[in-house]
Amino acid sequence: MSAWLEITDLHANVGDKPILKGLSLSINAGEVHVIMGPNGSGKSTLSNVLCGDPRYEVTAGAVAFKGRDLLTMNVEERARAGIFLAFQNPIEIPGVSMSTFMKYALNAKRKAAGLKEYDAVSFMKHIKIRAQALEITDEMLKRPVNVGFSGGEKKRLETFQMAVLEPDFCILDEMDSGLDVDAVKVAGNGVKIMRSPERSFLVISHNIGFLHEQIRPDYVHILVNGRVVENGGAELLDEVRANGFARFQKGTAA
Amino acid sequence: MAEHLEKADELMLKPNETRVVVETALAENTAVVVGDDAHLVHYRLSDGANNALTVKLGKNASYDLVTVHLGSGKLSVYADLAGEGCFCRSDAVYALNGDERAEIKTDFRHNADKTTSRQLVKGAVGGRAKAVFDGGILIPYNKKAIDGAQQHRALLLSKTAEVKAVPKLEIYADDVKCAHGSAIGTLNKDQLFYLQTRGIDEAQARRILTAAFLNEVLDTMRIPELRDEWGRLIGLKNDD
Amino acid sequence: MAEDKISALDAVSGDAYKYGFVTDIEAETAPKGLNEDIIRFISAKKGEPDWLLDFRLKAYRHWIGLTEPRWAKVDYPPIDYQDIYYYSAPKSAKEPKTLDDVDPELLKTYDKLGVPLHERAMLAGVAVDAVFDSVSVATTFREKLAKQGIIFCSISEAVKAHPDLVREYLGSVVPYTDNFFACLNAAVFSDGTFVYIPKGVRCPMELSTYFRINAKKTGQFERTLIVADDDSYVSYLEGCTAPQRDENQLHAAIVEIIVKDRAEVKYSTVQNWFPGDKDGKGGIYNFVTKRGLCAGYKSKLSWTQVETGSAVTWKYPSCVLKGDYSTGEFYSVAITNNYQQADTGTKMIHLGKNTSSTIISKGISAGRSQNTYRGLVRVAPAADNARNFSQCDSLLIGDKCGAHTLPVMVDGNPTASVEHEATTSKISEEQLFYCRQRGLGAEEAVSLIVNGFCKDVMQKLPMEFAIEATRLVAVTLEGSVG
Repeated sequence: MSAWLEITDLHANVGDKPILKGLSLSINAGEVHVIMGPNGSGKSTLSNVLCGDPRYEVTAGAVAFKGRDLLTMNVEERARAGIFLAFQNPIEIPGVSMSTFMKYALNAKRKAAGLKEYDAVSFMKHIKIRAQALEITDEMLKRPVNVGFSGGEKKRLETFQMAVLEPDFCILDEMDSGLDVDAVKVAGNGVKIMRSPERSFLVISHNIGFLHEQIRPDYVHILVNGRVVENGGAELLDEVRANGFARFQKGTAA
Repeated sequence: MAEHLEKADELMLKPNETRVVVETALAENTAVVVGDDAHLVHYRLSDGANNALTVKLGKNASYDLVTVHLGSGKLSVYADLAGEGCFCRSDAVYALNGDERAEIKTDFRHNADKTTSRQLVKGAVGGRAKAVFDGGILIPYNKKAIDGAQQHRALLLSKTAEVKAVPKLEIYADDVKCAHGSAIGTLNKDQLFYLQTRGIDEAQARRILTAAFLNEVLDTMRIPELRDEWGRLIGLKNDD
Repeated sequence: MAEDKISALDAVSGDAYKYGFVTDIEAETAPKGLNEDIIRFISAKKGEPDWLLDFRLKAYRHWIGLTEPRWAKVDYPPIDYQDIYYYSAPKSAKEPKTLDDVDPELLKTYDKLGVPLHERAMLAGVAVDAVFDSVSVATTFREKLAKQGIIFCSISEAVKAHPDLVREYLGSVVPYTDNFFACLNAAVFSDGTFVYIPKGVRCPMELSTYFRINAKKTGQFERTLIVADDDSYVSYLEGCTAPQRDENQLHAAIVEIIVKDRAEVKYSTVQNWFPGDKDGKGGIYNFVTKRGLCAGYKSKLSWTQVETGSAVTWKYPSCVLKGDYSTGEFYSVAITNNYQQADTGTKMIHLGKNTSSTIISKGISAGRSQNTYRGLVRVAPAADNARNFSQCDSLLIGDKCGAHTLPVMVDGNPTASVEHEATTSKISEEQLFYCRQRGLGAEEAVSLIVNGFCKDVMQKLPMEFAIEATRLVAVTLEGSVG
């Protein structure tokens, strides 16, 4: 049986520029995978392509998610199918409160799954529990999406959205970047809470400490020049810490 | 090196040419063409002149205009951003008093993709003078990646002066980032007070603040001597 | 004079405009066209006093010499003013004494429009004057309001019951010489609403007029006159719809507001006239003059408008700030889609000392529409310390529409401050992607982002209107993302 998420020989461009050049990766349910690589290796491109960002063009390859052809689905269909991206730099949406936003998103997902849409009361119940667990105050929920929040608060709100939407596959793009020690812990804590045998993670990060202590991955992949050049376990983290990416970059110059 | 021209009615830059031109007397009409990849820095001092300037910009060309307008007169700048990737700036300062009447008109047309324009116009009007700023940015249908910005700021220095501002954005394309702003007002009271607490009398404090307000437009000028000299002329104008 | 039977003429298509139905009702209609006889006919129908007929005739004679203004950024074929019915009234509408006298067919129409006229059935707090084509068919809660001395009735009735008040104020803010359409209205206005709030009275409920054009080829020329006496307060709502028809219909209304010392008037409009179909066929020409006079010390007038309808809009709700310390506000959302054209904005005329005005305008253009903000802020030499701030933002959805920002500022006082800021940009791809990544459909994402963009204005609307307006944003933008 093929894996839960199966990426095969994926090629993708931004404009005319190829970024992913034959990337393959298999992820099974419940697993936590980490992708590392030097700047410009295609890590963020991978996460955007998996979500269907229209700014990227897939030129070859295949992605299957739970047996479905992901590449034929549009952005919102993928989201409703359970793919969630925690953005590196979440965009501001002035005038739209976080709770309104989540109500639309959650009900869109429930509707697609043939479930009854939440009314105001059951929705509030659903988000209150999760808000408390992640130290999200009522005031933060009332404020417009990502407007006027610190970097740490934005990342916490990304985790909160993940908790509200309960996706099957979470992509965390530089979740820890720009955060202080305490904020990194809160971000990591969100991932710990969300870990389950039915949910898998793809984590993009440079922060070995964060990956070791908070994420504790099952698998680590090294991405260089648009391809996965090395697969391994958590021990790869230590090698990167000690030697950087030099060994993996040999013979793969852009 | 800067060249000095008088009453030029034509200014043509061939592709790849770079020139710095200073004009202290203006013809009635001036046609400027900046060829592909050419760059023109153009500084103009108008003392009561009427001038209609038309500018056409080629591919990746740049045009950097600073105009100091003292006294009555009508100055207009019509810019045709015809070449992809070109950049056009037109900054101006006007200072009026007595019974002077001045009009500053701009009409910028982003006729090619990836074009950028910037306008900063500042003025001070005293006496019974009247100023009109009429500034336009037009983006035609189907143009892509356009960035246009225009700012107009004016100080009214007397009870009998008047400023009229008519900034216009006309946009027929969607891949744009455009902004304009216009403010007409008076000197900041807190700043005036601050200067007075340092022993400067009110009239002097007003002159200093007005000059500082107007001279911001000159900050980008690349010829320091010219910037200082024209700054002094503006200052003298305020003393009247 | 002819009495035509106007019947259901146009089938309602399955379009998004849910108010596009026609009420099959017998109407009394003046012959097509405009001349002094028609004006005399309208005046006679209403049993008007001579002074009002004179007012109309003076206006008409002035109008003949005027030409239709063409300076707005809107484009439409010439209007044949002789091909319009200037008066159409449901036969049954002759002076209904109580709601029980109102034709059930009309009550049904308003129910269908979501404007229930049965007082018992109404949500607390809104009194309604319902104007159907040329006449007011019902006004609710009148007795309750009358107890506090508030006059809320049709303007025809006010002419009879309160002639002195009407005569004093009619045309005092918008004279018949003001502009082409205002002049036409002064000649042929058929009905509208009159409101008088006495000194010191805070109107206990929202007052509202609901305008409905039903008859074919009929112009609607209503006139609203609101007088808020010293220390009074009223919040007034205006709604409007029309059947979906292939031809264009003319709506040329006037709203005049007089705000006295320390009084406050809040005027909110959700304008939902039929905008034409997706190919630009049909729809209302909405050429309206709205102006208020802040006549006294600390008078305050606030206009809030959400414009989603009409094929062509030409409208500039304005404030004349005459009283010292008076305040004018204009909050506007204008959304155009398909082939709609809107040229709308405001005028703030600062005459008094320490007057202040705020303008917030949000324009959204989609489809092949053109959306223009046009404004004037004028500070007279005597208006010491006048303050104005304007913020005009435009959002573009799609590459075939247009957004234009055309403010004019004239400042003649050195102690005044006038500030205008404007931005224009397309709807953010990143915001759309973010919303869709969370599972929202493309149209849902657009409507959410647009509602967020308009939030500052939407929150100025009374609650019931705000909900309706939010829904209308979504409806208006249907089909705007491909």
